[in-house]
Amino acid sequence: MSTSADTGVAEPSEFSGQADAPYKGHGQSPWQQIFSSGPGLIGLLLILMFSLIWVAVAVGAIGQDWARASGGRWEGISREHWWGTNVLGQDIFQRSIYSVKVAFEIGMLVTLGSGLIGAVAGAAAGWRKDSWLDQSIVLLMGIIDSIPFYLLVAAVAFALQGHILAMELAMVICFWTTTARLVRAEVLRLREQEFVLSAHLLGLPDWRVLARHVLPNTSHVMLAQSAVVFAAAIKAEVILSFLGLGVQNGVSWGLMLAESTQEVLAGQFNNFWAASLPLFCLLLGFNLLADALQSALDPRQLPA
Amino acid sequence: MSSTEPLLELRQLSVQHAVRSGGSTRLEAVRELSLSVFPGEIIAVVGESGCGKSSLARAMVGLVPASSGEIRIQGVPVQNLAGKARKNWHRQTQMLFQDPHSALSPRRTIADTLAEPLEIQEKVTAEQQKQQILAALSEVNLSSDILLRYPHQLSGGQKQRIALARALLCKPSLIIADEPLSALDVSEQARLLNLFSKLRSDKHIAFVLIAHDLAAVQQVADRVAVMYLGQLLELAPAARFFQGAAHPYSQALLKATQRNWQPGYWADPKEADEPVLKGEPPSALTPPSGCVFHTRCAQRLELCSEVVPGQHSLVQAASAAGAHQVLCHLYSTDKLPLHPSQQEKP
Amino acid sequence: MIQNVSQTQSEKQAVLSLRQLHLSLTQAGQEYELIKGIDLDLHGGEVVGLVGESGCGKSLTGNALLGLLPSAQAHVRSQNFLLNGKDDLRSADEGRWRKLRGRHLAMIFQEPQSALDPVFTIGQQMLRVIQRHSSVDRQRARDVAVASLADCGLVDSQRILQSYPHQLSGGMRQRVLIAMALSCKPEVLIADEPTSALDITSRDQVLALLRHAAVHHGIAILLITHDLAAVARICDRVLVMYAGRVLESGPAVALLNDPLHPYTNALLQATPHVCSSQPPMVKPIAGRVQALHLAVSGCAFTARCPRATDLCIRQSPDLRAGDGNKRHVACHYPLADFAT
Repeated sequence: MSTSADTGVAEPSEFSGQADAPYKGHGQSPWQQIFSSGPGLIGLLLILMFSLIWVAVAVGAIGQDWARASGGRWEGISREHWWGTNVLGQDIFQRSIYSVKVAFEIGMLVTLGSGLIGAVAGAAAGWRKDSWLDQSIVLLMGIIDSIPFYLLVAAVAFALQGHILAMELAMVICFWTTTARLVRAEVLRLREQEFVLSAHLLGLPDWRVLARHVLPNTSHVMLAQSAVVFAAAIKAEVILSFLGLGVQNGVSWGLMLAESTQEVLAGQFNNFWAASLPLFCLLLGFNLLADALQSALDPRQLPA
Repeated sequence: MSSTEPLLELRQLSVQHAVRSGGSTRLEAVRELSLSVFPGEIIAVVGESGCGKSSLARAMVGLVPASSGEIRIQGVPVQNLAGKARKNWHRQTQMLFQDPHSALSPRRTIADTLAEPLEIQEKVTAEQQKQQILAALSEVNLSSDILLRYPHQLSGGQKQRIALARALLCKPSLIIADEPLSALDVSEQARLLNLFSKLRSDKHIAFVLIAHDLAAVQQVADRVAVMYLGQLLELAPAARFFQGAAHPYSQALLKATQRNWQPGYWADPKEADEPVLKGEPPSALTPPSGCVFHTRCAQRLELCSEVVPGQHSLVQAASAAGAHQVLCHLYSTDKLPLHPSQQEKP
Repeated sequence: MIQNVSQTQSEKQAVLSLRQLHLSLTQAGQEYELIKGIDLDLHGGEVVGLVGESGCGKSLTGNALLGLLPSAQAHVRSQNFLLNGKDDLRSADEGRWRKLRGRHLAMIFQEPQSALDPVFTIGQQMLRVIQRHSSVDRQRARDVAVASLADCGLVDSQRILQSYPHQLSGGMRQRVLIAMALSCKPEVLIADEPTSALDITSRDQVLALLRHAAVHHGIAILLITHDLAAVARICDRVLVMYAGRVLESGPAVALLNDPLHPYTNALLQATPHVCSSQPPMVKPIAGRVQALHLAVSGCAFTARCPRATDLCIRQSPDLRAGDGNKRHVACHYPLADFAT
């Protein structure tokens, strides 16, 4: 045998403690990174503000008086009616506040529903690439995505008319494909990575490799996508409500905008602004947060 | 080293990959390759990229299936292994990959990564687990303050050594290392070579070291196998190989590595603007007829382009580990005419 | 014989001459000095090796020579930066650099795949480069491309010109890139780790080609690498870099056989060489590379050096000349005495 074995140099264990800034990371947790980036912080604050309003409405503290005709038709801005009244004499500010709750509920349901379906379908398809399962999922996604989005949502919402969650279901059916595609692509990339191969070689069962080494590494995609879907759901609600396929027996920004079309022609802008301004702020908040999350949660940016 | 029972034995192993290119759809990455790995030896597999050495490594650990031929683990064909025996094969045969940066899960601390092989083995207490992890760390010359770190905080060499420590925690008898050196700095390469050598002598672990740098190979290898287009062109004990490689391809590889080095002395670059081998290896999709190397061989005979050479033994070795085999017409005893260069050979 | 050649070369005018190159990077409001004063002379027909472990600043130096660093964060300053002894490049703006790159200064990189555009054929890309730097028609440019490929040992030039990058092997792509760089007849070629992604035979071919370009076309080549065997293979002179400084420089053969700096010696002992008998086991260098951005008062190699004393911690050694001004070393305790 070769003689090299005994010549190995004895060396002391090497200490790894050496600060490597400024090359790697910034020594910050994802939250710190969001707080320290201007746009991310603005997004976070906006969302926090709306969340507080949502909670307050949900527990019944504010915005409960949205249905009563408390004033005359098209009253202006006053101490009593902070954003005037609509054609029926209902308080527009109350209606706008209550709509925050409606929007949040739709957003949550759709994000959770489509996120769950998308993650499961995407992970299953990616993990078993080219199997019948993968092929059927890809085909199904292709079919759903090839139909114009609003047409499909409207058609499903129309077909399910009368169902209390018709609109939410329609959106889940349309939205899961994007999440599934992103997760599938990420799983396809990850499953060829050497740390995943190593996990297989250690003898870990398949599901455990998937759950422990693959899915956690897709979380940055999932989270960022959640913020996008949340915003998209709120946007879609506005359009569907505008078309008469959305919120039934209630109020929402979409319904308010639908009301305002006639009013704007008559020179009444209160309803329009009261629906579109908060909508804009909420969407802006989500978009800013989504961008910040995307970069902060990338695994390569973990605290150094 | 010289135990007669091989740890791992390949018999006429072929590995095919499905590709879509032109008319051909199957790429034969490994062609009817036979090789035995004995306990506690380091066997180096050398060749250019695309010669099938990575496919060979992956077939050895079961990551890609064999299209024909057989892999035997301690005498038992792997397809006959089931349940516990199969698990045992996977535990005993560990793998190191080329890219240390993707070898560790980016979201898990080093402690998590190292605990993993222990969790799935027989029940061990938390205290035993800790002791084993610390022992494995000191085995690879790393201190315990690395445990709470994430992979991206480590250098390439440190990551490669963590991957080695993880493999060691499985108590392997064989480690397949697929180009573990090529992404590392010289100093880290040296450190890893020293570790391989130490683990072989201390723990009697066998290594299949896949590499293209013959200088690094000579540091640790007991045997050298040269691959070209999926075939084993030469297999020899390291000492014999570095004194006088037999196959023209092996000779070219050696010359490319040592051309400016005379023992103990770096020589002036002479005739340095002439490469030792011209041209590129042919595509594995359309391998040449006859000897696969004949298109680039300087000692080509007429029959090389037509007749597939047979395996020739150059030394009558008592054990399989001492055999020197070469796949080349130059060493055929019954083929005529003799090539002049054959007379020079011992 | 070789010494005579290098002597005449040092008397000859350097194609690229650089004195006291400093480079600092601003990040998060803080300034880090990464390159701490480097002198470099490149002569036509000579291959100079710039050697060091990853993170020693050798690639940064290469990029600074071509003005490739983002001027917003990187501040490059030097006492002297002359091309052909007259063009002062210190104040060159992006437009000037763009004219110089390719025509006078060319560069090839470690990963040949990413340096070629995957959607154009080799021919399209080569002709574009040739026509940008010289006003020749298409047919003439094609002749230049074919000649350049043939000169680089790629005889099957018609097929290569029609190929897309992914259809060639890594070694071939690297040689195509060299052919592309040489087709504009630059004075200086900077090769940044050109062989580390390649196999042994491709590596041998690329190194042979670089040597050929220097000897037969009189190009000044800077080979940036961590591979001492590659340096031994083709370089006339070597500079050993560590933590943003040059620790030792000199003629390749002398430096490799009798290193003066303990770091050069440690690198050599970590590099395996093929011998006919069993070679001595390689020795890793203790500790890890000194991070480039951290300021050190003394010699940066102190922490890993077997010869270090208090003096090395306190005082940074200057680069001293010796052996007839051919060799330089920055060490308080060099491995051999040499006449200053």
